Amino acid sequence: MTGSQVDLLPMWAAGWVPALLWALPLLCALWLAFHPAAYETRFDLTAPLTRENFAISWGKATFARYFRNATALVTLILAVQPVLCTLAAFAFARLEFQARMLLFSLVLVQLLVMPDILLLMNYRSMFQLGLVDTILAIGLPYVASGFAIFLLRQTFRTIPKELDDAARVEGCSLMGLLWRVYVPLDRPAMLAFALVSVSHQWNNFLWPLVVTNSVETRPLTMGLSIFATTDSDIEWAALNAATLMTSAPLLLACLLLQRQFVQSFLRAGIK
Amino acid sequence: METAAPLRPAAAPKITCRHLSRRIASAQALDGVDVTLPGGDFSVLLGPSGCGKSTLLRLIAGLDAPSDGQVLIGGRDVPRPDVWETDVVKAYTAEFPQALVARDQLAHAVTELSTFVGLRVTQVLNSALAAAVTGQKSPKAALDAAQAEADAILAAYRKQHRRLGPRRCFRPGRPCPGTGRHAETRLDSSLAAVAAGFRVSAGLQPLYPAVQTLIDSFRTTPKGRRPSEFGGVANYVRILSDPIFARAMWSSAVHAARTIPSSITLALAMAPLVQACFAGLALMHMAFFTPTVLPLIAVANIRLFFCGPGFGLIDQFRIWAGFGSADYTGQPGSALYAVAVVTVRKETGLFMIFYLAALRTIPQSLRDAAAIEGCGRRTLFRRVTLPLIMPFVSVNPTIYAFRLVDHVFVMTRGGPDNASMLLRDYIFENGFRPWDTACAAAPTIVLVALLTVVGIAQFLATDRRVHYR
Repeated sequence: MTGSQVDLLPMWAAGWVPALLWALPLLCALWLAFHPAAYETRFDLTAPLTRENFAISWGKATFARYFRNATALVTLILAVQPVLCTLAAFAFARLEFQARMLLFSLVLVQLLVMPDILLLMNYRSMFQLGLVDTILAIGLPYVASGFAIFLLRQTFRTIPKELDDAARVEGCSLMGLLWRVYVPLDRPAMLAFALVSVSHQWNNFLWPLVVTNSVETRPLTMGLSIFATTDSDIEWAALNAATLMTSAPLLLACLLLQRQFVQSFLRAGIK
Repeated sequence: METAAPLRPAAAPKITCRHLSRRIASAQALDGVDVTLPGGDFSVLLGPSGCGKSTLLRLIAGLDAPSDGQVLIGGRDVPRPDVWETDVVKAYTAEFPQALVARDQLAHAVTELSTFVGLRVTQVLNSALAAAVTGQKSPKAALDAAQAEADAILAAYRKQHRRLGPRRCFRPGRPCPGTGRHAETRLDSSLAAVAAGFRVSAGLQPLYPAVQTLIDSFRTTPKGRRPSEFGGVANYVRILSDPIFARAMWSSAVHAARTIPSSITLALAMAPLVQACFAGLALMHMAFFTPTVLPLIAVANIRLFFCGPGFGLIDQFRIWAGFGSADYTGQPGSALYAVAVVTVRKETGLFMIFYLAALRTIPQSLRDAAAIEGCGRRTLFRRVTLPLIMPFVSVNPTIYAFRLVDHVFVMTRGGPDNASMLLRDYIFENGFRPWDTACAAAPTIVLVALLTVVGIAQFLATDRRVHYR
């Protein structure tokens, strides 16, 4: 072991102890999901492993369909949300126009309004648009996110103005400036937001429940809700298997995207 | 509720109610009523408005099914199965939970609107349900048609009573729903929220809700045929004199004071770990993010596995170590702490992700400049890194600490004895659950005003201090 590795050891421990605490529910879900239902209230290292819980929970709901719906929803969000929010955030961060702070304050207020109240007005709007019971209706209220605008504006403001000026001197148009300078540099923030946004859509329950009413449009949480509504005979083992199944894509995405946060230092351009 | 003395004995069958209970949506309308009505008598049922007289009569008449207990007529239990409890409907609602929303709408129509309108909506929804269950129509088509028809009836009713608006008055000191009902948390609260949303839709005129709320907060609550009128700050004076509101305000402040600094500090404390480079870093970051990834439905169940009194892992450990069992979410002293722990756990991961992203965008040139000036690591963090990420590191937790309702709901429902009730739960409990929208207006305005002042002031303050160029 070299000297620098020894230095890292306390850091390693300081990181992993809380990390394990944070992950404990997930680890517990993992343990429950891979062991027979008989072991759900007692922990026993010698308990036999099984894959049966996954088979049981897969059979209880039309998960394949729900997975397809959730994927379509997330694709829709990921296709539209970054474009809209980047444009708005750029305007708030670097363009001068009248009532800019007032408009931005309104965006901030949107962060504060309770979702329970919006639920209802959103339903009205979707009904008037004739979109009730479509995947578009689940995604549409979320395509313009106050949080994303806020986050990206903050990020854009930290990007050195020198880069901006240099591009303008070279004769870059406004859209070109946004596309060539700002977008590449805000990638970490965008990815972080995308991750949170996708998690939210993936796990959102109330809004899809209100606005959809057929298997063809409902996302994954509806599959999970079947375990939560039939009170009498749910087994924790099966519930946990279902939870893991539905959360696996998100955990995987988190693992893959994590590299982006660590690697993409802002080095370009300034010497 | 009291029953008057019998007037006249006769041979008609006597009516016995045994431990009769009925829940409508999330409200307990009747709770364990035992009463015997002698046959052939005139019995008088007395009680203040809203105490459950009509509910009792509806149960005896067989118009509704009790949630618990039974009605015996002449000593025989008259079989009146609740349509919602039959296997066919249960299988149907499992695939189609919106029917439960329709049922709650129905309950609301029956209890809140005139009996006439309520009965018409009942008929419409029941026939739609019958059509769906017997297969005459697809469930979607049946419920869509019923929804449209019920909406039309309600719209006609509202047009007729336009000036009445939302009703019922503010009730300070409303008893909090009991605690320890861990088993029924889960979905129940979500469905209650949906039902509440729909109730608001029936009660509020289709105006922009924020504007309507602001207007409502300055008006008196209409009662019966007396329309709402301008009442000045009366609603605000009333909530300010309510001890539970004061307690919810205090709890919110305490909750914010506990969770905001700790989640920020924890998220920031992970900073050196980002620069460090060792195996499993990705897995470690993922571990912090898991509370955001796992759906709330599942989290509630897993939490029970840990904290369930008597059988949870923590409790098993306590018993093993000789401390005895403890119900963390059921004790007034620890309930808010339990909520705070869960909040911090969830939010740290969330903030860390954004913090990491913010850290990545700080120009390397600034770090280099600081290094040339001979800055230590600590100075660099305090003078360069922290100010640059401050604007959104500090604003977000403030918003989240006040917005959080779902965890409190799933964990404790504001109990026990209102100890874990935060400002938002207060609004929810007083305004949405029993449909007191007008009365929820004043606390809503207080909350939004508070958030706006704190959030935006904080944002502007930090934003001004940083020179980005």
